[in-house]
Amino acid sequence: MSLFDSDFLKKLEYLSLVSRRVFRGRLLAQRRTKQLGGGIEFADHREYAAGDDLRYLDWNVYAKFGDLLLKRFQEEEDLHVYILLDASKSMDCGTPNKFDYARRIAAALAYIALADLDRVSIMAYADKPLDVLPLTRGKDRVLSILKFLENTKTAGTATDLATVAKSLVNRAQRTGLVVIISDLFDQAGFRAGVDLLRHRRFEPHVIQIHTAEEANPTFLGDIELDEIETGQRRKITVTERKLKQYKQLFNEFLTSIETYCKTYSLSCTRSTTDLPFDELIMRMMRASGIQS
Amino acid sequence: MLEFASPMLAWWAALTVPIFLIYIIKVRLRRRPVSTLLFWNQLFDEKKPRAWWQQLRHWLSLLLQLAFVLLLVGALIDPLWSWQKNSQRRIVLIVDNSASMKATEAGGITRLQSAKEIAKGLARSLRPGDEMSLVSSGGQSVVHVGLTNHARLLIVGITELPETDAPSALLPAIATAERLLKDRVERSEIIVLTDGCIEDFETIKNNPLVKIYGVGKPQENTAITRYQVRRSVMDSVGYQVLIEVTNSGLEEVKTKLELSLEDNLVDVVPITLKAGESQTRILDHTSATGGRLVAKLDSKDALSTDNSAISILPQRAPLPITLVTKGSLFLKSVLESMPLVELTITETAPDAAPKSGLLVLDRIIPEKLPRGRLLIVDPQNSADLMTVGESLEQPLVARVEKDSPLTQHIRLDNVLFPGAKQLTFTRPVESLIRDPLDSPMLARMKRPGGDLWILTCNLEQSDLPLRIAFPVLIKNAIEWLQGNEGQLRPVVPTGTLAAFAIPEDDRAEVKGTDTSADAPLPTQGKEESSVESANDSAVAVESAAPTQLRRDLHVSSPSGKTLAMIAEGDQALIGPILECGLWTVAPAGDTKTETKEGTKQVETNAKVDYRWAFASNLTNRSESDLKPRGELLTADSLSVVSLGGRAIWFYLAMLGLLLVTTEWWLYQRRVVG
Repeated sequence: MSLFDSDFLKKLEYLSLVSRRVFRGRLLAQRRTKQLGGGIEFADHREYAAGDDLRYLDWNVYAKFGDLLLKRFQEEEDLHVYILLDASKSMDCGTPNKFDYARRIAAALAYIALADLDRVSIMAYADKPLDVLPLTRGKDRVLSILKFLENTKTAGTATDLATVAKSLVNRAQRTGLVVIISDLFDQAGFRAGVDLLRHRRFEPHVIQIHTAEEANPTFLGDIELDEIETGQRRKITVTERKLKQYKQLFNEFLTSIETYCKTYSLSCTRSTTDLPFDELIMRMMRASGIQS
Repeated sequence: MLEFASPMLAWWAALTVPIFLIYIIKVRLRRRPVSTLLFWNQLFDEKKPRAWWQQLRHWLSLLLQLAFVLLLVGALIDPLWSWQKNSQRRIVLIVDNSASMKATEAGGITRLQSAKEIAKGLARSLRPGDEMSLVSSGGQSVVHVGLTNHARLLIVGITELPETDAPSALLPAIATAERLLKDRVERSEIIVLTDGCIEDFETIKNNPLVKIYGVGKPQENTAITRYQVRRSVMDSVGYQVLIEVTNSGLEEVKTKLELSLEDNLVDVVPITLKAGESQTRILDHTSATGGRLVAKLDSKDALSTDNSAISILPQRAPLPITLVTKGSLFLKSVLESMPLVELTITETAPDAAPKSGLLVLDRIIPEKLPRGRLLIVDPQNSADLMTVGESLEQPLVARVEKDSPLTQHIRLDNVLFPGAKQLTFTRPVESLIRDPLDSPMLARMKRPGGDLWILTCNLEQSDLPLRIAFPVLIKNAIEWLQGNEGQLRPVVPTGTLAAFAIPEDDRAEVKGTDTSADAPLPTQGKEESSVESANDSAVAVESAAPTQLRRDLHVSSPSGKTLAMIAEGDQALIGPILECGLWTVAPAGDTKTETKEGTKQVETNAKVDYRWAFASNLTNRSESDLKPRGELLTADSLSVVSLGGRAIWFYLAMLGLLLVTTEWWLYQRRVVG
């Protein structure tokens, strides 16, 4: 069974229709960018400075009050959607597989964006960008995106979102929405990368996924743990008490992600892999609708 | 100082080496892939065990297992204290299972049960080389288990040690123990477990081999310490009960003594006894039927065995007497006045005397004397066994046999027997009354099938009927005929042998093997032998002919235990009697009177033939006094000697088991690695 079978494509189409009907005018390309420029919709005034185009001077205000104010308009342009897909080896585990789950989500979001006439770019990363799908537009590009995702494999020996974010910032022609699909098991911490994107006026959206086993491990006794990403090993004795402490620690990790996102008004979705991906997308869309 | 019984087994300690190596090498752990170690590292690095025992927890398991192995090895090599090793003891354990050991202590446990528990602990503590024997001293000395070091055998013997109602026979038991140990006295000891209610305490205590350990605490007790019943000498249907009640406690006791005959209440006597006081009562009552007479104290004290006593009151059977006379007023009157006499008067002599009765022939006698017991008064003509001669010249009573029961209480000195004649007998006779020339005036002749008494005196001419001696003479004859069955059935104290006399009437019916060439059936009871021994040699020769009849009997105890025995002659020696209550004896094969094992004889009293039974009671002051007669060693010190009833190896093994259980529990809790 391939990663993106006909059932998957049907679900994508369904999600696309639902997104248009429910969130008409409020999604992706239909959203205004925060770029101010030569649009037709008035945004605000600013004081005139020497050298400004006199065509935009508000003569009515000058006539009435004698003040030289320049009219500013909101520029209408396509939304750029950057999907950062965590392809580190820590994603290649669990049942269902965490990386497959992440790829399906990436595909779904890309499909919806393309259907809404947005530009989509996908970057698979670990400790550095592994593979990049350049910005593309048009629904007819869906198959190439799916093919890209299908060919993407996990690699690397660490995860470094900050480096990847720096690379994206340098590489991106314009700012836009950045969807980070990852387990966020970043050895150096994911916050530096997200902060960089925020500071460079990108809109980060975090999707944290993990398996049920990661949230609630069941093994007890003397065990040698083998980290699949770094190959690091550790011999431990797992007691009931330690299990309880682990679960507490993991929940604190998830809560810290949520708190961080709320602090900076970032969208945040977290889920286990046993939740169907279309359900997760629906949940995301509902959350976006409430926020907008 | 410790020594070891099996030091060679210490090689098992080498097991610790592989255990240690396994821990050092460590078993390969299960490997489990995880997506990240972030959280695990955080968990184990931040919360490192700080307590010393937590840091050593991986070693704790090793230490526990090594300790377990070492404890097991310790148990195998069987450590001995030096005194145990040096003194491979030979112990004779005497457990007092006398009646006083049935006294109930606080908690409802009898003294015997406590003694058994202590004895079991001692048996369990036996070391290799030690030997122990089990002897009981209740009523008699019994060796239950000979010298052995097989603890289980001893424990089974101790468990099966029965209770008895008999007084303590500690001196014989100690004598038995000394015989068991006589081949090697050194390192031998006799341990006595008793409550101290024993006679000759000082004698026993001074024996260097004996150590007396006490069981139980002093208790209050009121008891029947004497109990006998007899028929009244004054009244043929009356009886007298002798009862002594003793309060061996330290407080005054008010109680009631209830007397019942065949479960019918006869008398209730209130009794108040001061501390240590004894009171004796003699109670007079009447009953012709007899039966089971039970005296009971209305008292709830520590020992119930001595609160009741039982005896058999013999039945007074009617005596059939046939008087053949042509009108002897004196004989008729005196026989009619006798209680329990069924008198028949006739003028023609029958062929035989009434069964179990008496035929009285007045003056006229047939040529061939009838069978059975005969009383011939003033014979006028000769018969087959005697010849009647001329009248005596001086029919004056010169001598009366004082020792004979037939002539007891009779004073006839210088009394004339007018019409008395010279009598000559074809068989030896016993002359009970004689004239100055030694001619018999009252004689008794023994013959197979019934004795003869011949009185030569014309009652019409003599003043004998007017004297008090005449009815006494007739009464003596009748009571003698009834034998001891009508007098007294002695109660047998427990711990003694019971001499049971087979009822006279049933002797012929009891199956037996006659081992003598010519052994006539005895015709009289126990007094007969005393009569014979007191009389002349001619009589003695005949009566001395031994009865060599062997009879098979079954004896049933009050608790229903049955034992077979063989009686030589007319008397059976049974015992020693170890149970209080009603014992029954039955001829072998008598299905009517045999009892099955376990059935309570008391429950079938209605069917009991009391002639074939006897009663036994404790009636022993020493046993009823539930206070020790001297200072006893405490049983606790005996437990110390046996280290709480177990050997050291047992405790080591138990400790090892505890360690294994702890290690398992800690492992399940993941406290140890």
